[in-house]
Amino acid sequence: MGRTKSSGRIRNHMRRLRFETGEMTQAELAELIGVTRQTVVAIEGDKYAPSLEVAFRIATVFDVPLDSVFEYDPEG
Amino acid sequence: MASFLNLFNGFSYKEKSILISLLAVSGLYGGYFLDMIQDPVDASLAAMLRSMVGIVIALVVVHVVFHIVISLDDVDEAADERDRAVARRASVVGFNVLFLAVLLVTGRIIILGAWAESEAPLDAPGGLPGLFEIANLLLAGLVLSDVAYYAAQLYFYRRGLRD
Repeated sequence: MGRTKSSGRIRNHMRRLRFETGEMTQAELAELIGVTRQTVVAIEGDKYAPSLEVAFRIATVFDVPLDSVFEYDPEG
Repeated sequence: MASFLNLFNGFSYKEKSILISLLAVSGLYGGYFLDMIQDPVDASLAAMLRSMVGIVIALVVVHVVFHIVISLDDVDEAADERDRAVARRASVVGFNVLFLAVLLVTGRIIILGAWAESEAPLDAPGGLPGLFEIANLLLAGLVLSDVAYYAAQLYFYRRGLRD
């Protein structure tokens, strides 16, 4: 079994998805997914990896699969 | 006061609130310990109790006044999963500092106590710590762990929680 690198990073396309969804604001998205606007800012800036539950809520709001919102970058 | 807080315009309400706690605890207890080191005239537990009551009252006043000031510009949103994650991670930092402080104080009591009990020709340096010294050392540990907890929260909010 191969070793997995632990230095990977989760990146996201939330900014683009917000823009494509009628230029939704960070505050509006925060309200819909039940977190603070600062948390949306942190997620978009790759400063916070949300829980699976919040990740699924984000995907549901944009009506896209989860891997269209988040992607794992093994190189970090 | 408001202009001082304008320096932290990029901070959220929670970050400002943590900063207030950090500065208040550091300033008030720092002043107490500085006074204790520089001019230990009244080194009694009664004097310490009076100082502690004064500091607690001052902490409450500072918190209330500054939270009113920051409430003028920002809204305190309910804590979400990121806030809880930051608090959890910072608690670990604070706990480790407290653990180390208690370990050092315990070590000081045991080592100097054992030295004093032994038939060593020299007296233990500084003698056995009295109740006043032990109380102050433990208080310093508590304050340091509190400061570490607030500082770690600010650090995690600014740097982010990626893992």
